Amino acid sequence: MLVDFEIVRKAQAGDAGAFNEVVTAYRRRIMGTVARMINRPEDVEDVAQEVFLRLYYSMDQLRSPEVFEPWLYRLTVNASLDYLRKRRRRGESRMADLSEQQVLMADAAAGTRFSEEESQRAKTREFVESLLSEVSEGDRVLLTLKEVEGLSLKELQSIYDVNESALKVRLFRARQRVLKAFEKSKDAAAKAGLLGKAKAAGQAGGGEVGDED
Amino acid sequence: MARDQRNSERELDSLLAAYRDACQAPEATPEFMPALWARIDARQSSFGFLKRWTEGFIAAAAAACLMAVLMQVAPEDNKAVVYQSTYLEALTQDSTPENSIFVDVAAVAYPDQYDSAH
Repeated sequence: MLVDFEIVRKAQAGDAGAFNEVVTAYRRRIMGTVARMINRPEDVEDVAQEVFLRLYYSMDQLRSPEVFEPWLYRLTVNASLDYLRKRRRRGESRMADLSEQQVLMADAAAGTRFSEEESQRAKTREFVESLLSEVSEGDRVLLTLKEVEGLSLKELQSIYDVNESALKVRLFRARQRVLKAFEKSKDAAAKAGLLGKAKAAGQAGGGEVGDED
Repeated sequence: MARDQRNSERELDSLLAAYRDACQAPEATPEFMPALWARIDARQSSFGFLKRWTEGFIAAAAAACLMAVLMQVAPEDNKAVVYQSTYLEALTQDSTPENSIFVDVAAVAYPDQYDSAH
């Protein structure tokens, strides 16, 4: 927990100061999750605000402060999914849908100067995002939550409201689909030098994500 | 084949872990909190309007129900005529010529009742 239970209780009772504390404590984490889920930097802040807006108006439904974090995650996932649905209805394109030339132009317009490390990170992000764009939105969100956000099966169960075995099947299938896409583009990843560096980064980062269950 | 699969799985896990490290959470702009509170206030005022409207509607509906109940309960002046007398009494009181034959028949058929009515 990033804040004391007492702060959550006070926020529940309508204390604006306590609510501000909760927002300040979780803002970064929520924005990170939203960013990975919606894959559109310019809308991250807007969706994160929507999460906290929903939090404000549903604080009284929280049974106990102990379940605050999974509950906040659930709000985050739902707000992100709602955003994705709206975007799909509007038929907007993502960076991944643009041509290489358009992406280069967008990068140039942003005028970003990458250091070598940052360039490697950008390559990793780009590669994984293109890999995840090969599968359905549902698979992408589920895998992002499990493998990248590191949510436990129990937390995912409460978010998706399904039983453990159904969730495991969904996860397995989603992972198999990503794996299939990965095997197709493995050569490109190796050429970009992502595999060796990713392995090192994975080991440095404390091993594999998603093995806790 | 199975070994290749395991290798791919390991590489994918490493790649996803590297991706997690590469994705730094974006920093919120200084406008984050004021904009959030503005949205909360906007929602609150629209909720307030809806709440007031709903309360007004409920009050009007309750008043209409009450009025309907009162109209059912209140005594009416033009209620149907309730006859207090018997058939024969009413017949003898009604002295139109058309009814006289019935009075005569009644006097013969029910002499006791006819006498008490007179």
